[in-house]
Amino acid sequence: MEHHMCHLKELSRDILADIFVRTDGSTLASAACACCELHDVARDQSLWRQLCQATWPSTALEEAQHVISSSPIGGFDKFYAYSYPLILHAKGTKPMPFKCPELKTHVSPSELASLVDVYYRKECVLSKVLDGIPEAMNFSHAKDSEYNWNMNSNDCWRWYSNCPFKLELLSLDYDKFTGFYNELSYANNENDNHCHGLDANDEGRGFPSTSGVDDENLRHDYSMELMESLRLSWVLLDKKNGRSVNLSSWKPLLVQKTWPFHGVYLIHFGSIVAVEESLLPHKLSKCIIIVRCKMTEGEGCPKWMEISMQMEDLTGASVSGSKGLMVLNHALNCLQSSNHLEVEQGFHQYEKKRREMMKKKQFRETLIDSFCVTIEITVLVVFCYYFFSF
Amino acid sequence: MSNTSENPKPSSSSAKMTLKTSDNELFEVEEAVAMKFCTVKQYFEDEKDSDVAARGSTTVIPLPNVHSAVLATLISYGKKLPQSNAVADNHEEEETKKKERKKYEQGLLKNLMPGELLDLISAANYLDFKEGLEFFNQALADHIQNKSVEYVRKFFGIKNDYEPHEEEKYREEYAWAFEGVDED
Repeated sequence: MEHHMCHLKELSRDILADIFVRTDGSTLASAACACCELHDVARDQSLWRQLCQATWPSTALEEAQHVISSSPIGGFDKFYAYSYPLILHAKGTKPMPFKCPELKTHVSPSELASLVDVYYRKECVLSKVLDGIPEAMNFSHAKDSEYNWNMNSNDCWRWYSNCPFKLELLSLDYDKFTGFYNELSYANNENDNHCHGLDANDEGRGFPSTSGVDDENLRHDYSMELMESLRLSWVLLDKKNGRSVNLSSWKPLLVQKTWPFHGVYLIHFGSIVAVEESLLPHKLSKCIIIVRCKMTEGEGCPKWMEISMQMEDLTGASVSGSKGLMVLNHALNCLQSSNHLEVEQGFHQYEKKRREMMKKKQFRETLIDSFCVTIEITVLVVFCYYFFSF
Repeated sequence: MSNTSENPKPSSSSAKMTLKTSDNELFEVEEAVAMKFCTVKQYFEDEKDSDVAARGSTTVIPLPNVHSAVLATLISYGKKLPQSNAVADNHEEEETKKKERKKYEQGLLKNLMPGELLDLISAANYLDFKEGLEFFNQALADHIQNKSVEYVRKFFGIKNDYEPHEEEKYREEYAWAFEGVDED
């Protein structure tokens, strides 16, 4: 044992740093709690910076360096600690926040930045940084710039805050990726679902799945492969308060082949954020990261068509822009966990709750409908009785 | 194995060097392999400059910080690396050599105790053996990846020198990292 004790002291800081840079943040954190010497090694910010850049290559981009260094986050170790765990939705979690006692009532879009990384087959294939929310800040950034109205920032904000929340990272024309207009096939069999994932029962997306027609034999179904190989991280950074959070579920929640564009897949990632009842009914919001990509045989990597974020409440209704920003603010302060299994269970619970709620709603509506119909028939019968008895 | 180097195939440079370890064992090593140890290379070049090169293979280079068992492993690893002065192999031979090397590396790591790994890293650092350091550092990193605090302590053979309140404070600070960790 004594012989071993010499070894740690014999290994220089440089060697220990070289060893730890090959691991990950959790390992470095374990080492920091082991003894004083390793704690000193773990205080090295350049080590944490390298770990951040290895985990999220977007942090190595110039815009990211600028955004992170100008925020009061306090170092790359804090950034790693905030961004590594995922948002946890657990039964019995109080919807009120939890780490930060004051929640701002108004979050400005310019105070937020997004660092997004997409991984395919364990390699990072796309990294992008988005400073602020362009749609909310400057109308000329909006996609439909042919409508070149001269909106000032107040009008822009008013427009954004009342429209459904959307944060667009990447969006390309569908025309570039289609060309299959002659090959439209009609979804005859809606039960023949090509959906995979936790949201597999969710039919309300407006994209009926493709049926297994013969020419599909030419096109391989990449749904399972995407489910297993695609990963996404969306780190939201609050530049003003120096906090960050990972809004993604890391693994896809849903992978679906869209129709009528063959070879185009719709993938969802996201998180469940608990909010106050005054903000949203049912106190829950789902942050959905939508990825649309095209898979072609022979090409190793998906072609990205769209990466954006939307929000909805428990009923499936879209959340407005201003409320969406409040939800993001809650997300920055909510419960997190590095245990991915727990996070997945949270999603299952949410979906279960949602289905129960939809069932109740449907039952209530059916009941009301039946009641109304009964009243109408009764009124009609009584009316006819009196009418014909005279 | 410890006293003579295995040299069944002729190499382009048949010059040998003798290395002397901390426990006074002598190792005869091919120059090509010994040159991978930059410390040895530097020593050899310094000797050359002081015009003692004529004594060439009889020069004994002392390595007081390296134990014989450790040096034997490092030399044997060095031999498996692609030699800088070797004849260019065709693609197939290269692939075979790569596979052999991988198999050797796996075998080596399987039988290694944590203390031995630390010794190897320390020696590779002293000898400035870059490829060896890279390999063993990676092996150690893989070994402690995602392991608990207790495992890291056991592995490095370190005592917990924190006060209880200090340890609690740090564990709380790094609480985010401790879910999903192997207790092992």
